[in-house]
Amino acid sequence: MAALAVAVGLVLADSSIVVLALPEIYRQFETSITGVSWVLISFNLTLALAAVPAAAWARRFGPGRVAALGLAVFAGASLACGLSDDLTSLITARAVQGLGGAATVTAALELLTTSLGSDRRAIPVWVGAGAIGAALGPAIGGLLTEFVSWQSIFLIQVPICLLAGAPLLAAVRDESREWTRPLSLPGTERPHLAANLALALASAGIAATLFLVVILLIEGWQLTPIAAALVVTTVPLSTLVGARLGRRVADARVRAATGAILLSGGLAGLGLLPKALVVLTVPPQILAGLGLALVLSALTETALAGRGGGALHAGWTISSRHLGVVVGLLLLTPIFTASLENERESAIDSGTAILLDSELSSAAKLDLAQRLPAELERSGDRQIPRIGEAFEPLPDDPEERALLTQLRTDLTDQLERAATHAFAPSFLLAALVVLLSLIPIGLARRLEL
Amino acid sequence: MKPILLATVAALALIGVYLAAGGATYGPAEVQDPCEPRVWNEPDGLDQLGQQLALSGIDGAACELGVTREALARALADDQSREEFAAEQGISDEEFENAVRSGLMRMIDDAEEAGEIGGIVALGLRALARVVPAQEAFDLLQDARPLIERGIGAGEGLGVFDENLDGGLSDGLSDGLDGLGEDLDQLDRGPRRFERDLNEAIDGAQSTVEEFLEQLER
Repeated sequence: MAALAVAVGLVLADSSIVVLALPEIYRQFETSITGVSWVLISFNLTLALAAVPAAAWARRFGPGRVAALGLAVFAGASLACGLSDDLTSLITARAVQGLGGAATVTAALELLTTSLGSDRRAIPVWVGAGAIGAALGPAIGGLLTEFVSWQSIFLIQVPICLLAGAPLLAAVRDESREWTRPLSLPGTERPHLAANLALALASAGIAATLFLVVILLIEGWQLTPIAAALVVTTVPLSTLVGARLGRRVADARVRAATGAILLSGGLAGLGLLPKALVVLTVPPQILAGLGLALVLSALTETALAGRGGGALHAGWTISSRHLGVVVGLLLLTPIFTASLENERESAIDSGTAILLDSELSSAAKLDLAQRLPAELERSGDRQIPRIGEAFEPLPDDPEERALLTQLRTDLTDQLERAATHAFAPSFLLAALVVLLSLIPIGLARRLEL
Repeated sequence: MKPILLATVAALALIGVYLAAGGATYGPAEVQDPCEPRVWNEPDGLDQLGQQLALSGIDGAACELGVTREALARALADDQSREEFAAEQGISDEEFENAVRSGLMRMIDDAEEAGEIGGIVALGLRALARVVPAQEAFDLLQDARPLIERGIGAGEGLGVFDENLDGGLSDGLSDGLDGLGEDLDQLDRGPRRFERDLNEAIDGAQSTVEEFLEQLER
C-alpha cells in the first residue's frame, strides 16, 4: 500500500514539481514564458487525455500490469527528461511521462481498493497521496534546482519509481495466473458530471497558484529558487491544515463550496497585492492552500463515491483535474505575457522619467542612458529586465554614489511594481474561474447521474 | 453553511484589506502628459539649467508629436534610434523637425517664465529657434548649454539697459527681430546669415546703450 501511495504521490507531484525549475529551464534553453509553460502543459495534457483510457485498460488487462507498465514508462521518460538538452525533447519526454503517469495513478486506485478491501478506505489514501505529492512538488523541485540542478528533479525519480514498482511485480504475477475483467453495474461507468466539471474549474486555480506565484517570485521579484521554494511551501502547509479541517465538515458540497471560496479569495488577494513584498503573498497563499485541500478532496470523493469501477472514475477525476490545469495554463499564460509586455513598456517609461528628473549630472545620466538599453536588450521583450549591472561600478564621489544608489532603488521599485501588476489580471481571472466552480457544486445533487 | 460563511468573510476581509492598502492601483508610476506644464526645479549651475531646459524642450516636442517625453528622450539617444522611432510612429522628417522647433520654443518659454532668461534674449532665441538648421535644433534639444551660455551672456548686459530704457530696448529689438524674421522668409537667406545678423543686432543694441550710458556718466 505504501509503495502505491508513493507512486501516486510521485506522479501527481510531477504535475507541479518542475514549477520552480521553470525559470532555470527558461534561461538555459533561451525560450519564452509561453515556451516553458509547455513543460507543464505537455505533462498535464497527456495525463488528462490518457487517464480514462488507461483506467479502461487497467480493468481489461489487470491493474497490476497497467500500473507496472505505467511506472516503467514514467521512469524511462523521467530519465529522458533529465537528459534532455533542448526544450523540444524535454516537452516530448514530459508528454510520455504523463502517459505513464496516467496508467500508474488510475490503476493504483484499483490496486488500493483490493489491498484495503473497500473503496471507502482506498479513496482517502489515494486522494491524500495525490494531494500531498502535488502540494510538496514545488518545494522539493525548488530545493533540488537550487542545490543540484533542474535535471536532478527528474533523475531522482528513476530510483524512486524502481523502489515503488518492485511490490507491483507480485500483482503482475497474480494477474498473469488469473485475471477476469470485473463486471460493471449499469449506469456506474458514467462520470459524475457536476463534480468533474467543478474539479476542472477549481484546478485551473491550481495552475495560477503554483505556476504564476513561482514566476512572480523568481522572475518578477528576483528571488532565488530556494527562497521561492520556502515561500511557496505556505501552500502545502496550508493544504495539510485544510485536510484536517475538512474532516470536521461532513457535507461534501459544503466542503467543496468553502474550498472554492477560499481558493478564489486567495487568488484575488494575489491579484491585488498592494506592494511587492514576499510577506504579502503569505495570507493569500494560506487561503489558497486551505481552499485547495477542501475543494479537491471534496470533489474527488464526490466523483468517486458509490460509483464502483474505481479506476475508471479515478481516470475521470484525474482527467478533469489536469485538463483544468491545462486550460488554466493555456488561458492565463497569453494574458500574463501580454500584460508583462505592456507593463515592461510602462516600467521603462516610468524609469526613464525617474532618470530624466534625477539630480545626477548630465554626464552620469548619459553614461547610464548608454548602459541601461543593453540591460533591457539582454532581458528580451517579454521579461522584466534586471538593471543592477548597469550601475556597477558605483562612483567614488559620495554624493554621486548616493544619488545613483537611490536611482537604482527607485528604478528597481518601478520594475517590481510592473512585475506585480503584470500578474494581476491572470490571478483575478483565475479567481473568477474558480468562483464559477460554485455553479456545478451548487447543482451537484441535481446533476448527479 | 457556517464554513461557507466563514470562508466568505475571510476572502472578503483579505480582498478588502489589500484594496484599502492600494492593491488595485499598485503599478509603475504613470508618466506626465508632456503638454501639461511641468514643475520647474530650481537649477543649481549651468549643467542643471541645461538639463532643465532640455527637459522642457523634449516636453514641447513630445507634446507636438503626441508621444511621451520619455519615449522621445530615448529616441533622441542617437540617429538610429531616432529613425526607428520615427518609422514606428509614422513621423516624417518634416514633422520631426517642426516638433523639435516647437520643443525649442517651449524651452525658451519655460526659461523665460522661470526668470532664467530675460525677455529680449528670449525673443532673440525664439527667432534663432525658427531658423537654426535641423541637426543643430536636434542637438540643442538634448544639450541646451550653448544656447544658455550665449543667451545669458547677452541677456545680462541687455536686461540692465532695457530696464534703464523702460523696456524701450526690448520693444525696439522685438520689432527689429520680427523684421529680421520677415526678411529671412522673404529673401530666403541662409540661417547662418540670419544668426550673424541677429548677433550683430544684439551687439549693436548693446554698444548703443553703452554709448548712451557713457554719455550720461559724462
